[in-house]
Amino acid sequence: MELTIGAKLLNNYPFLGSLIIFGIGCYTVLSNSNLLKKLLGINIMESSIFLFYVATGNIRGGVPPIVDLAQPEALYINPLPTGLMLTGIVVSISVTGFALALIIKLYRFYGTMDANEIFEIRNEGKNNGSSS
Amino acid sequence: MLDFILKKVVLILLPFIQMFGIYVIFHGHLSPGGSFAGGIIVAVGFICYSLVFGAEKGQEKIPHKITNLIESFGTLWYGLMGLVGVLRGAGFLLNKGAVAVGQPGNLFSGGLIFLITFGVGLKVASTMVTLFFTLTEEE
Amino acid sequence: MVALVKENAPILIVIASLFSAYLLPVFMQYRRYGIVGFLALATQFFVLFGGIFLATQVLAKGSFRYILAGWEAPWGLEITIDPLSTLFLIMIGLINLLILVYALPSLADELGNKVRATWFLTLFMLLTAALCGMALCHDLFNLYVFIEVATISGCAIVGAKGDARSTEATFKYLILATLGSCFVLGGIGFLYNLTGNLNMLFVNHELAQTWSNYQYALWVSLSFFIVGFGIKSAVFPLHVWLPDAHSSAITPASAVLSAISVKGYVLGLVKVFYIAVGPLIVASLNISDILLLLGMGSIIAGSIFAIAQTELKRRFAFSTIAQIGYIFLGLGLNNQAGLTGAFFHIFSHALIKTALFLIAGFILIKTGKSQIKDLTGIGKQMPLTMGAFTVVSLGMTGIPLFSGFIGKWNLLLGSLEAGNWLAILVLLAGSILAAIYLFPIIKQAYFTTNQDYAELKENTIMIVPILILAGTVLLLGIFPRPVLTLASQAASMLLGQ
Repeated sequence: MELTIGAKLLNNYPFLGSLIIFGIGCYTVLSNSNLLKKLLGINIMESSIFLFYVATGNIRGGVPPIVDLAQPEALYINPLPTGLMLTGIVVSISVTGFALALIIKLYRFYGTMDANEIFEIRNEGKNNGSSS
Repeated sequence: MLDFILKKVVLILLPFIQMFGIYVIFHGHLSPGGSFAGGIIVAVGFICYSLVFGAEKGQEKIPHKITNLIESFGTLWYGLMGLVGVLRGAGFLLNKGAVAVGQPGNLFSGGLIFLITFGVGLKVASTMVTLFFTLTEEE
Repeated sequence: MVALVKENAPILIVIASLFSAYLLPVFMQYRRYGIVGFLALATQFFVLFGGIFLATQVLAKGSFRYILAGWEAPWGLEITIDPLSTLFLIMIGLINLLILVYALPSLADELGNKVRATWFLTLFMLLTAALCGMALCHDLFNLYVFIEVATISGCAIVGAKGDARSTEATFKYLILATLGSCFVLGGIGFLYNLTGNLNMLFVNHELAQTWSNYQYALWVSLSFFIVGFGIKSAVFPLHVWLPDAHSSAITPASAVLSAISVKGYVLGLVKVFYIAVGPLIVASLNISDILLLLGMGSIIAGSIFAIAQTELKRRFAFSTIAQIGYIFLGLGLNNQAGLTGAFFHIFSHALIKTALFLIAGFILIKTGKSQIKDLTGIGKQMPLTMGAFTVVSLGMTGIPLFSGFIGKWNLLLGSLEAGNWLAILVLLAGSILAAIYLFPIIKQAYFTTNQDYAELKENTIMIVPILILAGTVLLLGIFPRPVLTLASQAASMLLGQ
């Protein structure tokens, strides 16, 4: 091994940053009780995955992948992951729109946006069946 | 006074926003952007109009019946373009044997890609406008 | 024209479902509701017959590929037609058809008005298209796109009713399922980073040459896949969304989700682990042991939780978790008999679970009862329904002559072959626990009497799918040869990679 682990990690800083942001997003989804903050955690996680893919396609010292007829032999970066992430962004927007509509409906039913309070209101009104 | 400035500015800016959105849709196979980004820009134009002038005038301009039909039409258009390849005896969504293969830099080459981006761009715009109207209506 | 349809049949199945999903709102706009129902049924017929036609081709000639858009792999997309995908297509077509025959007469009353019923059918068609696409795809990112379509339309189907309980269940399902999708996308990103290809066969070839240099990265990638697909297929520690979602949705929605949708994500896991990565790498990185542990935990935990439930639909929802554990156990065994048992169990459990949920919905419509302790004496009031329930429960516990036995027998053979005594114990315990949570319902129905004996008519068209499903469970137990051939050919194809 020519480089140490630390040097290798710093060399691939986009991937390291992407995984740290993924962890932050995952923690946000699972630990906050406010429904809007959970949705923002999902958005943070998806942004980190976009960063991961776009960093995969990058070549240091390359030019953007638009064919320039004056210079057809330049080093183009890989356009495929960027195209894949367009689909990912569409999915993220759809999920966000759907979840926002659901949050509005839940607010109209329960009067609160906090998951713990919704759980208590539901348990008070429920006296049959067992939840597990 | 503030209302007046906003209304006049939106009325001046709206054609340019739409034109830029249509430019991004049509040049999807030549420059960055494509159907999705262009559709969002066109929808942003409608949403700005609806924000400044109020929801009723916005819904008058783009009624629910038309957005319903445009959304279905967008996906059916995509499928029909794909079936063109099937009907000409080759595979699905075929560009190579059934319709022309493109040359770089030329707007009207590239066969089916141009038509498909147009359909998808229209559908994305109408979906975004429907989402906006659904989320902001107050009961 | 017919020759064109036959030649391009694989892609036309997905396209027909998509077309019908987007034609239904157009017909709703012009208020032709009769055409709406007819189009939905016709699409499912097309899926079923397309699946049977492709299955006959696969059994005669072997697996083949269909190339989209004329560009060969790896520049173009491929669709694979092999025993596994045709087994799934037949299952999707048959079960969706029977669910629609049950649901169409009463959908407008259950949901409120005909407009909402049409939107529900649109989502149903989208879910069908996404599951057929997941069965047919051969490309990692194509799989992700179909997973997302299935997730969003599945969540929307749960929330179709619009009351407080189902909206909360939909939100929980949406957040957890999107969390799983992010994990799956991260796993695909790792595989793309390692091999530079997205087509599953090309990824397999690249990994087979160089995998020993990248063991840590492969380990992280496969763990991301297990968490992501595990959340969506509801194995034991990650199952928390399933009871609320499947018990608060309307009957056709919970039937299609429990019977087919969770299996679609298991199929995605099978494709990534056995076609893209390869059974050799999966075994040497000890991933098979993790799948075995998850499966065994699901069987025990799901069955024990099911015994504690008092509402009929919640008990069936927990039973789904236990049966998914059987499939994961078969996948973890990593040999021919285990995989055959897992795929046969996918098919037979889909039939059984659909029948159970349709029976629960039928009892709810006719008598308004949803708690088990209220079901006294219902065996005399609804004899056909409870007869079908008895047949299907015997199938679930794995009694010989019913279809559940064949799947569990193959799983037992696989565990014997792998020498895993704990798996054999868990399989037998699972059958006993299934009897414990199903037979009290039969006892309540037949062996207790109800004072106010009201005569109930059962001669609506909604009883026909329930009887057909019960009959198929019995028929598959006696003549399992067609489905068993497909399952064992699928297993040998996957293990031969």
